[in-house]
This record gives sequence, structure tokens and C-alpha cells, in this order.
Amino acid sequence: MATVFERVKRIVVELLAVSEDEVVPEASFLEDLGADSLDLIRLIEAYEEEFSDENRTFEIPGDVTQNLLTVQQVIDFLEEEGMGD
Amino acid sequence: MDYQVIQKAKPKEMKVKPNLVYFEQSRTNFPWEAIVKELDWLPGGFLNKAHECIDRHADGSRKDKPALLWEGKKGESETYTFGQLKAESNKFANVLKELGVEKGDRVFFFMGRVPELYIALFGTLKIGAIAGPLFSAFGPEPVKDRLLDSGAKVLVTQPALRRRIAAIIPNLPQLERIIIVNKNQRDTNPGALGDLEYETLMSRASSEFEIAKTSMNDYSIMHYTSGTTGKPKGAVHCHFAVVQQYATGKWVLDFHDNDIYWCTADPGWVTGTSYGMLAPWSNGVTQLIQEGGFNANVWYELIQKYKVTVWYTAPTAIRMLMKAGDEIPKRYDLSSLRHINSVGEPLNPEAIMWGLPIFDQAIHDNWWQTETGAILIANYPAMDVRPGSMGKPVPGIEAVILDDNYEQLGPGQDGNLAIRPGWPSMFRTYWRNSETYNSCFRKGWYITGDRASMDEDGYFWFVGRTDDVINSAGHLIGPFEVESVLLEHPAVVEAGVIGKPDPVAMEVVKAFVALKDGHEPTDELRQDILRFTRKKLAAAVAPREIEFKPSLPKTRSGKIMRRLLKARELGLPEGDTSTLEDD
Repeated sequence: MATVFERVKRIVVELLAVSEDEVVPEASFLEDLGADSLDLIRLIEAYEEEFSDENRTFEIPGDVTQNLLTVQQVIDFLEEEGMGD
Repeated sequence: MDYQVIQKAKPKEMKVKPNLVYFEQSRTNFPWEAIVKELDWLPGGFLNKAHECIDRHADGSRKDKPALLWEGKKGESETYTFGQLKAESNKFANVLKELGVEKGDRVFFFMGRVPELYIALFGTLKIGAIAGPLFSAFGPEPVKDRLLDSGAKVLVTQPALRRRIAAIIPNLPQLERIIIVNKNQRDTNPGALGDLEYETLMSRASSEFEIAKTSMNDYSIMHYTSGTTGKPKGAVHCHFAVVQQYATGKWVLDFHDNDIYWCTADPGWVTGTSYGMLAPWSNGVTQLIQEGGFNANVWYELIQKYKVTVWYTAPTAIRMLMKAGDEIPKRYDLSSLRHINSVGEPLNPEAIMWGLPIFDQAIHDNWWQTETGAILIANYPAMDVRPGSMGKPVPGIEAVILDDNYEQLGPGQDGNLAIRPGWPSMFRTYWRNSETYNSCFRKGWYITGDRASMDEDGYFWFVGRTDDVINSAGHLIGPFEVESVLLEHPAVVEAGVIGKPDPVAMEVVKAFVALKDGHEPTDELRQDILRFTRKKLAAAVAPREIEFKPSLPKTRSGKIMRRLLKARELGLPEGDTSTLEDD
């Protein structure tokens, strides 16, 4: 099964049209990956969809979304939420 | 659903009495001469925006008053008084003079919101050159189009932005100089061979400068704006526009001398100059400039930290604050806010109702365009707000709704929003395109391109655009500009671009693409085309979505029918398809 990082990477590559090599943990969506603030919202929606299943609708609280600005921050948050199992 | 009118207290019962109270009476027969006299003017009847915004204050009682409070994206802060802005902008005027820049030359800015942008822009106005600020989130193609069309002689930019557009520089024959601002030496590899260093030039320049004798009708600032066809057009404003920027700052933004004002717009769009430079400073008001972009935590914190009293932002930003939730604002003291305004696209009633308890007041929508130079229709502090309405015309403005033959319609009917020409901040031409300029005026009216209606009580309500221009996050995007880049991709043979409704940004750019023979509509190719357009246009302008089609609907003369693409996308009636080419 794909790791959290791999699943996040796939989303970022698809939405921001960047290459896989660019999606490194320390990459900032705004500074390094060419995203704007609307892209950040689309990314949040995509994580929520990716990590929801029939038993659980996964929603990221609004105040958390404001701190998900690098790939690593997203992975850390998702792992804290138990998505890494 | 209908929303209740938000009623205001009587002006004399408000904490701060609004500047404009009797707006019904002051709208008709408005004597602009009275406002004209409130400006300082230069000896001999000359007028210069830099004098009205900076030097008149620096030479008077506001010399040591903070004009600019800067919050850098790395947490830095800087303060410039009116006196310091005068000295610094004088230096930049001397720098340009030394470089041979003359009155009427175009000096363009491709920069983030650092103090040097503001200093250099006013220095440019001081020598009588025309300043052209560009949106710092543009990719190389929009920058190239604008620099080429304007024939800009000088470009002031920053290291990372310089690198972003490196490939287009050799294709700009009229561009003589590139000046690099390396803010706080942040970049270790700031420029390219032949570039000039802002810091070095400024360190050698005198802080004494006599402002050029510009007349009220001399061109001062140009902003590019998008249309349905062709490349973007440079809407040109003259120094006299400051009359209305000053007046609307007073009436609509309700500036008082001790205000701390924050406009969140980028100066690359007209709001960021008319209301992020000219209106506050012509009123002698202190303003906050934030270098970074949107972030709910940061924004609320800035309001608290700087005790912002008057705030001018945009519907998309307000909806992004809504999305971030009601918990964050509870952590901050927002009680300094006295008056909140919004522009860029219609402010939906839900956003106003959300803001009522959060900010303890209504958010005031207003309407204007790049071409109008200043706010023309607005909700004022003293006026009851009808959620969803853009408000009523400001004093001195005659706004009407016209049918397609340009005859006036009555209340409640949808039609073309039109303005009686002659207001002080009206654009004076499209750069080197007077034909298109002239076509904006019909039967004695300026036709705005927006559809609206007016109710029985004189409130105006936005309906939509009359053309194919896309409004995404308050930025107008010309479909042709995006289609041109799509057609440069080796696999694309036809492209049509529309605005797809979006709950946050109002619209996002969606592209329909037909492929050349030999190319398959795969996910990989879609990604490749997305990457190609984002590299050339950047996120703000590039399509967010691409759909492949075997072919696109065209007229018999071969024009892509965007209207039909949009109707099909939204499941709406297709309307008149008699000109549609038979497949």
C-alpha cells in the first residue's frame, strides 16, 4: 500500500502539474511549487477526499489548513491523524 | 433567499462620524471644483500625484507621520514617514534622470510588495514618466505581452522574479535597463550581467529633486486589463485621477487622520495602486503593506498587531477567511476595525452575513473597474447595506442601465451598466489603441461591459459580464491570452477557454482542447499541457482544468464559440446556434 508521502505526492503532482522530483518534503507549495492560495484550497479538498473512506469522512479543520504550507507539514499532520497505518 | 437590510445607526450616534452623510443630496449637481481645491497643486497650475500623495505632507505637519508600515514575509518590519518617502522617491527620480528616462517614458514594475516598489513608483511619477505596475504572480508570457505593448524602457524587479522571466528578456528590444531590488540582501545571486543594482544607484543619488511640471492631463499610470479578443489593453490614467482617488478615499473608505489602513490588493491590479497608494496617501493616512499573501492566521494577527481601523479587501479573500472557520478570529482582538470594504467581484450576501458577528459590522461592497480609475458605486458607512448590492453611485457619478440599443431602462430591468463620461479618474485611452477606446463610448455613455440592474431605491445589483472575460479571484483574465499559450503547445490544435463557476474564486479558468492528429487524450498529456501553461502564465492565470474534445464548436468563419462551450459545461440552453459550423 502506498505511504502517506506517496499519496500526497500523487495529489500534488496532479493538481500543481509539477514533476515527482520536485515534491520533496521541504518544498513549500507557494514558494517552490508554483501554487497560489486557490491551489492550497484545492489541495486541502483533495487530501480530504483521498483520506476519506466508507467509514470515515475526513475533514481538515479550517485553522489547521492555514498551517499546511509545505509537503512535510501535510505529511506530519496526516500521520498525527493516524493516516499512516 | 432574500436577506434583511443591515440598518446603520444615525451618523451622529456612530463612534466616528462618517465623512459622507447626506449622500442622496450630494450625488446630483456635484461640484467637483470643491474637491479640486482641496488638493495642493504645484505652482503654475501643474498637478502631480507624487506631490499630492507624498511631498505635500512631507513639507507640512505630517512630515514625521508614518506613511508606510511594512510587514515583510520573513517577519521583518519597517516604517517610512512621509518625510522619508519624499527623500527616497526623490533619489529614485534622480536615478531615472541619470539613466536618461524622460517624461512620457514607460517604467514598469514586476515586484512583490516591498517599500522599494512604492518608492520607485512615486519616483517615476516625479520625473513625469508613466508607471506600469505588473502583478507579481504573473508568469513570463503576461509580462512579455505587457512590456512589449507598452514599450517599457526600464523594468524594476526582484531577483527571483527576474529569473522567472529570464527567457523573455532578449525579446524586448525597447527595454533598455533592468533595475534589481535585492531586499535586505536576501538573494545571493540577484541579477544578470548588465542589470543595475537598486541599492547602489540609490546610494549615489541625491535626495533633492524638483518634481516635473506635469499637467493634470499628462499620463501617470497604466494598468493592463483583459478583453474578450486580442491581447490585454493598457488603460492609461492621468494625474487628474488623484482628485477622485482622494475624494472616494474620504467618502467611501471614510479616511480620518488617525486611521491605520490596510488594502490587501497587489499594486499589479488597479485596486493596489488607486487604493493601495493614491487614495490613502493623498488623504495623508498611514497604511500597512503586507509582503506575504493570504493566510487567515497572519491576516487576523496583522489587524490586531497594527490596530487596523479601515480595511479594504476582496470577496475571494473573505470567502477564504470563511473557509478557515470561526475559531481563528476568536483568538485575536479585531476591535480596532471600524470600516471594512470589498471589491473585485460581487460580494455574496452569505459572506456579509458571516462577517457581521465576526467583525461586529457589515462588509461594504463597491464597484469600479481598471478603466474607471476609482470607486464609482459603493456602500458608504452611513448607508444601510442591502446584502448583495454594490450600493449607489458616489457623488458626481451618473450611473444607468441601458438596453442593447443604449436606451435607458427602468428599475428592476437587467441591462448594460453605463456611466456618464467626464468623471475625474476616467481612463484617457488604451495605450496605442484608440479605436478600442472609442468603442467603449456609445450615445454619450461609457459602456462598462458589466450587466446590472437598479432597484426602485437606486441600489445597483451586479448580474454578470456582457463578454467572455473571466473573473477569477477578482482578477480579470482574457480568454484569448490563455488560448494563445495553449495553442503554443505542440499537441494542441484548437483551444477555447471559459470561466467555470467556483464557490471561492467566483470563476476558475477551464480550457477545452482539441488535439492534433497523432496525439492521444491521455492523463499524461493533460498534465503536460497543464505544466506548460502554468510555467508560462503562472497559477493565477493558467487553466485549473483541461478537458479534451475531438473538436470545438466554431462559427462558419472559424471562431471558437466560447459561449456554447460554457452553456454546455453548465447545462444551460445553447441559445442561437445559427452561426454554428456544421461538423
